[in-house]
Amino acid sequence: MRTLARFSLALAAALLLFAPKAHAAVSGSIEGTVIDQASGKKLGGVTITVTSPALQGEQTEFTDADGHYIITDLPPGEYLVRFYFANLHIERPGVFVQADKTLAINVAMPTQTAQVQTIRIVEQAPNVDVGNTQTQTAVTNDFVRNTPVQGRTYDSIMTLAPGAAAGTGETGIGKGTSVSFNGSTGPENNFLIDGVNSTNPAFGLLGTQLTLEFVGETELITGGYNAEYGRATGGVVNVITKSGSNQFHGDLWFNATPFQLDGHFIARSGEAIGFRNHQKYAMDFGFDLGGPIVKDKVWFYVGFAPTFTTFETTRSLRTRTDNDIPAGFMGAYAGDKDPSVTCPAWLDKRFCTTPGFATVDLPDQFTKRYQTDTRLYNWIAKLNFQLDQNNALVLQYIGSPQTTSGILGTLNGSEGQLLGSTFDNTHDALVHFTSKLADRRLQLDVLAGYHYEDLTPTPTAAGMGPGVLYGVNQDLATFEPGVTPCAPQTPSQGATFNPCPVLNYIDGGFGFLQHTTSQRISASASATYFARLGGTHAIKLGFDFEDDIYKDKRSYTGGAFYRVRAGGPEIYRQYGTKIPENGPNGDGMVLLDGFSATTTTYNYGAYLRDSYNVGFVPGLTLNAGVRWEGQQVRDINGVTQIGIYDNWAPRVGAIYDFTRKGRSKIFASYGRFYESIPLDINDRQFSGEGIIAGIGQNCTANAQGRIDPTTCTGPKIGNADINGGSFGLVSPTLKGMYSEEVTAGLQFDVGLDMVLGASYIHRNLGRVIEDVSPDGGVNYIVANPGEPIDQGAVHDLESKISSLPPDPASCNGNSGPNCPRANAQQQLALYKDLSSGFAAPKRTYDALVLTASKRLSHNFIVLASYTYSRTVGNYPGLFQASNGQLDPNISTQYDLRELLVNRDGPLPNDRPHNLKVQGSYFIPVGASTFIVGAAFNAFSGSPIEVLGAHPTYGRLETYVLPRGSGGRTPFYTQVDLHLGYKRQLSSLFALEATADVFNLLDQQAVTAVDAEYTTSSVKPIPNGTAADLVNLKTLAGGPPILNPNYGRATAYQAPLSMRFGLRLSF
Amino acid sequence: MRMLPGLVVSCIVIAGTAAATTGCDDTSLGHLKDPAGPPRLIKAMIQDAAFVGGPPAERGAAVDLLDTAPPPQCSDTNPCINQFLVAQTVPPLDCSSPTGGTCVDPLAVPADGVPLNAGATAIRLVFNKLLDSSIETVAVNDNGAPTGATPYKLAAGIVELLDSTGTAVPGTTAYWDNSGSPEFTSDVVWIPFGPAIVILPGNLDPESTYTIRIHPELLKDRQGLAAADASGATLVDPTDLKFTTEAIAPNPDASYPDFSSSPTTIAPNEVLQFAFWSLLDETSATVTATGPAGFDPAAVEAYADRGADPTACADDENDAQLDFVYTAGAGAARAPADWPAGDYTFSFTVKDAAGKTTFTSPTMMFTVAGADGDPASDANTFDNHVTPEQCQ
Repeated sequence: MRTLARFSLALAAALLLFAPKAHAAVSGSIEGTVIDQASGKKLGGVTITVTSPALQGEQTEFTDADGHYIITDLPPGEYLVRFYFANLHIERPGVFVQADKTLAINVAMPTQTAQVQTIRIVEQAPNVDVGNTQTQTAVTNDFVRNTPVQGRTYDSIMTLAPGAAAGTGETGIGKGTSVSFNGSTGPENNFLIDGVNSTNPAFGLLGTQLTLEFVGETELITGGYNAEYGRATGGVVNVITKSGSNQFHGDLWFNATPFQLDGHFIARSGEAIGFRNHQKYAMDFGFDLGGPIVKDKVWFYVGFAPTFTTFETTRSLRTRTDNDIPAGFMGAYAGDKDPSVTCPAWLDKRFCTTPGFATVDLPDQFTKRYQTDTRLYNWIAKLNFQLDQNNALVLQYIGSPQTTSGILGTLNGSEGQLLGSTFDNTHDALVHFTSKLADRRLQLDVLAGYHYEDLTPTPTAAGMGPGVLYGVNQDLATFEPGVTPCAPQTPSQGATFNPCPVLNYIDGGFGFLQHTTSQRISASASATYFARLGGTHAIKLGFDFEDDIYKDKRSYTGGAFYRVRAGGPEIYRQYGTKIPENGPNGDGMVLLDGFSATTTTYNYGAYLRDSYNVGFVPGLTLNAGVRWEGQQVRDINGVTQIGIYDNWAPRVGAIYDFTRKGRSKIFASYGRFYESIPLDINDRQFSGEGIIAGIGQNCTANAQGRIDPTTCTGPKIGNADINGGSFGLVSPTLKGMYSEEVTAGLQFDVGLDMVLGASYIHRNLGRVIEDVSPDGGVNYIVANPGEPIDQGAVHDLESKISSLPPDPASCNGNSGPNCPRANAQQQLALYKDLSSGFAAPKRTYDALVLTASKRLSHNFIVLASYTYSRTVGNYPGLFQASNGQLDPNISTQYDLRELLVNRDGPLPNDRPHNLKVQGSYFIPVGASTFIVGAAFNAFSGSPIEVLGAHPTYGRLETYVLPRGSGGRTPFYTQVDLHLGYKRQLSSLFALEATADVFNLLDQQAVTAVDAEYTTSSVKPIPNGTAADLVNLKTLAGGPPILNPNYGRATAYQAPLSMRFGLRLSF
Repeated sequence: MRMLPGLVVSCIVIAGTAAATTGCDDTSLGHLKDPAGPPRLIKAMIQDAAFVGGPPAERGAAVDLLDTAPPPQCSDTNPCINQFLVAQTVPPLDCSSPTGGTCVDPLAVPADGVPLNAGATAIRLVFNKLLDSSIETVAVNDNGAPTGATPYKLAAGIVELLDSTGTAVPGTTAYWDNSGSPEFTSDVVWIPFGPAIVILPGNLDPESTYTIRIHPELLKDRQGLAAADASGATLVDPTDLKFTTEAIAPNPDASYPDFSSSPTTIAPNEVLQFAFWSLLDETSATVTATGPAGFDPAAVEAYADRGADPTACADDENDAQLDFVYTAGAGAARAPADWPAGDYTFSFTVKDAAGKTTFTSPTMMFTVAGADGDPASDANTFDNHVTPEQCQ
């Protein structure tokens, strides 16, 4: 009820507000100048009409006294533009409008040869967007259908953009492909569906998986975005769904991927448990149908598309060999070193000081196979109303629930923690109203949207008990005694031997359980006014608002989670809180049923933008705008903990069409882009989440040493043992995280609808938000590390302290719930110390981009780019690939000063070379068409880190050597193939059969490697090199335990697979 | 930052074919350079040699001999803060005066001398950047990994630790710790400053003056520049750093019983245990005690703790802990016995391991009452603290 009320309020506000376009454009524009062919004089009063199957009715405009016209709000599609002057009639067919683009259609009318009644321009229409400086790639439905696109949802085409690649280390996070645009990380992007923000509110990742079948066009905006776009420091993905038309159109389709070759076996060197994955099968089918309810007035579009995918994971076991123990050897024996294990080609030999172990595969009887089934159900219902020539309304609802059952945990563990199911219930809805007023000089655009995600995991019956993590070199037979070849402690020549070591093992139940519900209620409105002053101005004013809500219930199955340390006691974890701060006994409370929090964030945005077509410099367009964003990050009590109201983002750009025919542009732009803080920070920092870690006592164990956590009589947990549990501190001068970008380049339409381009992009992070601890991990404050201290804020805090009465004696000088003076003193001390030792964040992206794009015409379609880029700095972004942490703005990187050592260097998404060529050729033969498509992708590997453990933060937190010192993963190439045969069965029906081969050469290149150089707690070697590793020591001064698996593959390129499809179109 | 548009342009020119071009994707781009100038000795830490999760015990002692700066100013509106913990303990944040005082400098050398840690004190000479790793040789196996019990050997003559007579402290070892931040740490004991030359003295005696002798010509960075002081001035050869250790200091947290509580009661079969931060000479201990009827002061035996296993006395001997047990019998037949029930006064003296200084305890009072403690659950019974006579 609360949600519905909010939605209604937001919608009403949006409808009532007179304000401009604030959301992503879902339409394009045509503009131009009409002149007299003979005299060159500009012609006023020329009538221009545009028609298209994508447009309800037709749009009509007139040239002004300067012969200029502009027609906006055109849905993407092919248009016919007609010019009427006296008895002259000129037609310009084949004008392809795309979302967020402006095409220039200039015409010279032969007024002196008025005997010619109709002139049809056969010259190809311009294709260059002369209206803005955005770096964007349009992926049309033609392209998706006729070239090899491996995935079936729109996230699978995001990497088609120049400078885009799957985010390093981001595999498995989010629902789809997590993409890095121009060196950023996945959570920095914005995902829009028909202008409505469908980004996951909590983590900034893809929120809605939508089948490509419902998508008409996808705009991948990777830089230079206009003031309409905000809340992203990465890229903006703008999906425009299909609509109905005056004709009934629809498709029935069926696609099946019956097999995929086996992937490589993956296991740590010498580890008993290994696995291989492959997609066992995948299929999707469905239909869509669009057409008129009332021609030119009311259109509908509906569709239903289930997608089923099944992966098979094979868990195989192997034993270390023990046939070469030296005579008389005593003590623990690890196993034979394998002389055939060589240092991987991409690694410096100095990283290979621990060769792998010889192993023998166990027979198939010990192999286990698991299936993971994913069922995505997409549906869409859309209505387009053309209320009259000037008013239009769109209503849309998209459902995309998904179920997954199978592997959710780790293969190094029991099936109780391994298996389970999830239900991801995602829905999106929108209302979009557009209106043209004031003799069509004013355009209103009002949009309201709702995004909903609910993720519910369910363990199996075996997973309901407590989970137990056994860390550091366990014996598999302890947990799986049925695996007889792994019998523990096999005596051999006096030595003890563990043939089946596993680095760790999670026994018992499912463990961490998290049920989340994310919602976003959004509303936006914009107004565009067309005015003349030294040319044509399109002045836009916009406003938008988002109410983001996140509910997160987390708990441990069985009430607690246990960790057993090598030779040490069991550690017990449970949730607790100190909110309400006093708790039942003044300290807080232990929460045996887990912790739940609901937090909210309000986002505000407004912008003003002028697109100025300079009258006295034909072909020159200047864009100048500024966007303002505000954000209120609120705690569980609804109190604003972070209030940012000064995110001013200037956006300027200039475009010059040197052909003055819409066939070229030279452009340059500058923009600043602010991040929208995802709600994870509300949930973790401002919810009162606390953790209790204690020692389980008197736990009993079975004969193999396996403990039963339910028998522990402890731990002796007190409410005072809660770690955290209260709200984090916030810097009094906290400002928004932003990036800045400068672009420059040119595009030229070389004919055959082929547009070539070259551009340079420079992007850098200006400021970040992170939690930092200036006092060694005692207190944390959300701040802008590296920013200078504001003396005014210091003075304000000093004044606040002076104004506060002394704290009660019970405070004893310490901060606490009832100690406001000590709290203020603590905040002041922490704030002042932020200036020391926290290096400013750096992330610099420089790229030179060459592009070639050709829409479908002349029987072929192409999208190609080559990007040379470098992404360098000390801060990767909102995802930390080194430890896999997805906690935007509260990662561990800035927590402690010593964690910053060696963080400078090539960042995880630094992939210097990136080549993409994808297209297809059509061969018409009578009523049939053969289609041959191909894709070639090649890009550099990602930098390899050299990581160790930190004494208090744990594994993978210490950069032993500077970033990337381990080299780079191998170069990646892939060839895909698409074959199609389309036959027109009748004037109404067409049948198409397709076959796609992905990774035609089955190049299973290494895509990720083990970056953990040592599991020991070590310190970083400042600015060290591989040559210094031999001197590296543990904190006790001894040799560290080196990881024999360092630098070896942990993931490979997906193997060859084939997909076959059938489609009936009408 | 080496990232320049020119580099990008150069690389694209070179990159005729994407896959073939590898020179423009090096992974050292953006790495920071060492600080300019000679390697500077910026800290001379004397601290617990403790490390996370293992022995020896952490005292939380750490001082910097080069920390001569005045303590930070503070007031009610200018509160104190420490950037680090000391063995996971927050150092004092007290301000000497709310209207304008000074903070406690946790690394300042106390007026009563450098604190010790019973044979587990480390000296860390911290430099602002890496030194040339040739100062240390490492025994490696065929694969290049360190091998053997003591694979590391610091080059001779780089540093010396001398006692007040100028004699090298026996049992001292040293190694090159090439890791750590020279300026910042969240815990000065758990994550010590570095890079550092680490000296591990065999033992440091209380109330004694020592000299750390540095030969800077042998300490060079990777560019071959010789070590300098914190200001960058060239160090003379040799450079001496002197320090004086504290007196014998008790370690009450590891002692039994807790004499700060009253009344102090022990079971008849329990052992009095007094731990210290210096190594002691057990044979120098003297006892002065009074007790109930039947108590014989001469029957109190003092000895260094040797643990509970009579077969592992040598390994378990802890010369920083003095145990007092009541005994019966004499000679080889002397064995632990129950203290007679009643009230006691008790004091003792003991000398450090070198016999240079003497610790004199205050007179303490305790009561022996109740039944014998169960050795299975009471770690303080004499069954868990074998006497030298019981050792096998």
